[in-house]
Amino acid sequence: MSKPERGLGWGGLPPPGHHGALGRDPVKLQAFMRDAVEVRLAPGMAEALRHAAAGLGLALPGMGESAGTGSATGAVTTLGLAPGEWLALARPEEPGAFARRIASGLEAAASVVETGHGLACFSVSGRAAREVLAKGCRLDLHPAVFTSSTAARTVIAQIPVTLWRKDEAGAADSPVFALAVPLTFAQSFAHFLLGASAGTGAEILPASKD
Amino acid sequence: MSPHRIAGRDQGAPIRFSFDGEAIEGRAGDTLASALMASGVRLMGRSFKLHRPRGVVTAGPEEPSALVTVVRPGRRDVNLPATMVELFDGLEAHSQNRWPRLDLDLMSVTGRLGSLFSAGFYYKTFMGPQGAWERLYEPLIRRAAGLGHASTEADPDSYEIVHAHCEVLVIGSGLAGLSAARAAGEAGRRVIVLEQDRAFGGGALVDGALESWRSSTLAALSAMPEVRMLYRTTAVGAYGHGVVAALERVADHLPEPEPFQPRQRLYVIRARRIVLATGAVERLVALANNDVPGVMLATAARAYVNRHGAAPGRSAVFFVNNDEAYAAVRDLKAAGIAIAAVVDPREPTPIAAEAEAAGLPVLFGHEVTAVRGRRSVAGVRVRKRGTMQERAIACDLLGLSGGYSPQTQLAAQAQLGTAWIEAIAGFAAIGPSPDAEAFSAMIPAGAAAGVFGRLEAARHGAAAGARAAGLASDPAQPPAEAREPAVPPRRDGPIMPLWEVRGRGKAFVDLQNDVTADDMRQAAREGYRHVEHAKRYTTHGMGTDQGRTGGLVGAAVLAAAQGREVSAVGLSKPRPFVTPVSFGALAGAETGAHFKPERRLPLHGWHEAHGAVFVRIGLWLRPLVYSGGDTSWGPVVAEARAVRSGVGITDVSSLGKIDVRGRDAAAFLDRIYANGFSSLSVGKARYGLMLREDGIVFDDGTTSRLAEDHFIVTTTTGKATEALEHMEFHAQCVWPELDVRLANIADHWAQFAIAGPRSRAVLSRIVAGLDLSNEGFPFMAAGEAIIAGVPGRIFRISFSGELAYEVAVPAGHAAFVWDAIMAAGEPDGIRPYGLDALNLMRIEKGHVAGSELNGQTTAADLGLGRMLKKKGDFIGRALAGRPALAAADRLQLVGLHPVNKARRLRNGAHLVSAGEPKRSQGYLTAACMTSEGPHDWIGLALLEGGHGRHGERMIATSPVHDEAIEVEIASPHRLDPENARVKA
Repeated sequence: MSKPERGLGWGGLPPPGHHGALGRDPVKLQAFMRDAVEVRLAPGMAEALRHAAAGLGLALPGMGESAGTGSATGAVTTLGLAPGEWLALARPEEPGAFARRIASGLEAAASVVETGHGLACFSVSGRAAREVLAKGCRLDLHPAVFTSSTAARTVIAQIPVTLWRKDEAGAADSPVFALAVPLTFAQSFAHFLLGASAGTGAEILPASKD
Repeated sequence: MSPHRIAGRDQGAPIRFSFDGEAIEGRAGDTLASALMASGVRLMGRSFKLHRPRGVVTAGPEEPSALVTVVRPGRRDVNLPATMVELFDGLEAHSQNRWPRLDLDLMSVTGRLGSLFSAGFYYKTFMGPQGAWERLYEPLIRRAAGLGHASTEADPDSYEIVHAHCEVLVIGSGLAGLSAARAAGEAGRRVIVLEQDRAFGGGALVDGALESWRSSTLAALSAMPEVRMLYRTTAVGAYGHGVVAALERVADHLPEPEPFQPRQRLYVIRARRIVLATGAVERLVALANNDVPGVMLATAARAYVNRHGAAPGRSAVFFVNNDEAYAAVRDLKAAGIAIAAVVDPREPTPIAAEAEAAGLPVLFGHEVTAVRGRRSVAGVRVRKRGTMQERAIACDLLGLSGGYSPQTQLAAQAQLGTAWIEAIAGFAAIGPSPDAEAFSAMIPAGAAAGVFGRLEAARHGAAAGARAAGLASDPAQPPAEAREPAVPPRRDGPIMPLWEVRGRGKAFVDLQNDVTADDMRQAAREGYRHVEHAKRYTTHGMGTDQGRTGGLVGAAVLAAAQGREVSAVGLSKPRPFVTPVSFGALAGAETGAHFKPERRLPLHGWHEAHGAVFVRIGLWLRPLVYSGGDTSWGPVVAEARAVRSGVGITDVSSLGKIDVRGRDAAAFLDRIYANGFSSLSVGKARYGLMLREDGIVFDDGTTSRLAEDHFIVTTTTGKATEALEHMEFHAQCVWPELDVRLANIADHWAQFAIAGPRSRAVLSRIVAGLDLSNEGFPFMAAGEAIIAGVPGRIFRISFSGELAYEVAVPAGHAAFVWDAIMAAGEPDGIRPYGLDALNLMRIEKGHVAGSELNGQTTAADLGLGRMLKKKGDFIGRALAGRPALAAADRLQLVGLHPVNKARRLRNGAHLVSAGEPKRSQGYLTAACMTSEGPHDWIGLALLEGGHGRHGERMIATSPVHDEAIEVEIASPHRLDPENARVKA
């Protein structure tokens, strides 16, 4: 039996290349994959979770930091989704390995549920990224408001979206926005991205695990 | 050069266009109105109701009369004000509401019968006989009245909706707006400036003295990276809390949009503060025949001369009641247009006296009583106020100025106040009051706030901009003079409110809807005294121009008819939109197939490649049958037979899946479901029924217990989102004391049902870590396993009624595992089956689905009453006990088949008895051809008291198909009622 290889789980963006109008600074569009777990604090276990997360090197936004922010610690990005609720994302590993590592590290302090295969992730980057996303995103993505440590859940093109910035601080001029949508909406969301970026032009990159 | 161009002002490159088929040449920078004017065309349209000849009255979006249709390949835009249509090469424009020609309109007979067509005419005239309105009157009236006719073809253009944010939104770019933008921009704020015109500057565009200020201010603004200037963009609605909608006409000035360019863009702007600098619009004066082409507002005449070098006439009379209008008189004179007279009802003011001293023939204390001419102004009648003696003055242009109305529509929408300002004889925006401040977020500035005068408006705007930017005003700080226009302070004398000069002839207060001053008086006489009632009765202010030029005039006539002050009568409420918005812009990109998003299964590509016919259910696209397009029953029955006799596989990934964890997870599910889950052992699955609070069945599905504190709930596809919300709501709000944590895992797990007597054999070939034998993994067992090398979950549950397993694997491995199962099943002839076969088999088995869980059925109706637990509370328990929900004649689930087995049954057919063929006793919820007989049909139905009526014969009637089929009522559990197969 061959070794199982993880696929995108949807049809993917069009083949790499240019899309839409020419002559402007095009955005870069890319689909990517993540392992992900939803972490939910067990009642009365905040102190234990803080301790356990520190042990894992996991920064949980809102546990002493302001809520709704994303934080990339090493290979793991954690996004605060709601009080006591986080999404932790990492590059794809062996099936189940990431979830097991987080779950064993956090033990009874939180429940850890694997959700990564249910997320289709996209990155939209470049000078015109804000302009493209503004065609569906109601949130203010100005760098002074949506900083590189901001995360949000919103609705774009009638599709639920988890949105964060994938770039490092200080990249205000050419931000990298990451958007995760439910996998089964991925094709419709790709249609939105292609439509929204047609006016500025887009460079489509090959799907990535990075 | 055309004699209608002003010498020395004919600079733009030539542009060719046509109007009613006639080729005309205009100049770059022209609007259709200015180009027509410059080529001598005066007659631009016919009026809505009376078909009177009409020309251009204004130079902006407030234009009531010069409405045209612009035709492009595949496109037809109607009712566009010619004043806003920018010229492009090849533009094809047509006049409207005339037949057969603009200059020979046979419908204009209605104009001569005009005295009949007064307010309320339709209501009073077209009353009977019954039905005549729809059949006779309305079609006739529609043919005679109305404006352009829209295209019936699909719109070839694209549109988009864009969300924008700023700290200070400035609406309008005149003196006040640009000053406000500059003040806010210099404070470092994120600013958006909206300008409806194709150029920034507002009034400064027609005032040569302001040009250097305009260009230096624009240069300063363009150097500010956080200031965004949007032109051709009209703020069309204010919605409170800083939300404003604005329409950008991106490509309307082009023959067609550039590639990938939308035609129009609708902005939804969220601003912290808004500076309302929308300026003021000049008012007409109601006097006899004030609609004859050549009657124009004074500001408009000035704009055509100064902006376009187009001469609105050769010899002008002005009728003005204010000093501002003298600027227009001076500019027209400077452009070489003869001024036959300036009729001013006031005593001399310093400015008016200066004009007279400079050689203008000013008739103080006079008024214009009527306009002469039919298709074009030939002259006016003038008299000294208070006398009856009239004299005629020849002219071809009457410049009217009845004062200026601040543009407060958006202010009213944002719940800013308006106040009557005597000095301008108009309502201006004021406030906001402290309690409305958070909602309105709006600061009025300049003319919109009643602050007239160039320097005054600029200063007022700068102060509003600073306030919007959150800067405390510092009286010690001298005004930044370099930023102000180099013009003297305003020294205008007072305006004389003058709304109407009574005379013989129609005196219009609304040119677009043909509403006259007499109509307003009639409305008052007939009891429509409130301005809103009068508006609806007369249609005053209901046109595309929303009565901008005559709204207050009509209100004043209405007030006078009641002996009241116009300040007490007020204006009608201006709702969004302020100017017309196309449906395309409102829809944005979400049209056609993309009206709603679509959900695709992770294996969509596989299904497509294997001949699936897809069906859209809710947002989902699901395989109906794998037949390459054949939608007959044959392939469906073949798929079901393959399952019943061997093995099949179907994609059930669209089911809702919820991970439930926590110490109180079992207790939580006991309350959510009508049946209990505390008693479920680890490693087992159980069918569950959820009720709504009112006792009706909400949803069903299987729930498996993977650990003491860990359950996997499945819901139906259709109710997945609602069921999750229902559970989250109860976990978070109703029982916060329970330790229960939910996670939506629907899209993480792909799930397949492998069904049929050979399913165990097939799965055993690729499953590791789980004993699949009947003893090791019996019916309703659940567990984790490695499937084709992928960690996943297996549930021994069955919807088909056969031995069956559901396999769940992470979606990214779905294709790999599905292929592995197909390969493992090849020796057994495994084949995929779609939703139709799934449905067929559940009908045979008597399982309920969406058509029975229809929001009207109880558990007992569905034969599931015994599932309701006797002990312990659950959602819906109390109201499920209502007598009406236990009535014996409720619609209850039954099975049925035609007496002649091959007769086709239909969903929705009604069940009647032979004796009472017109009384429906129930209806079919599902019907299919069976997998058993050659062409046998069966169905499920909801039937009055159906549980006790097995064996009874009834008629299934479908009048739309003209069918009446004799059927026999039976148990819904037709296949394997002992459940032997699923337990095999």
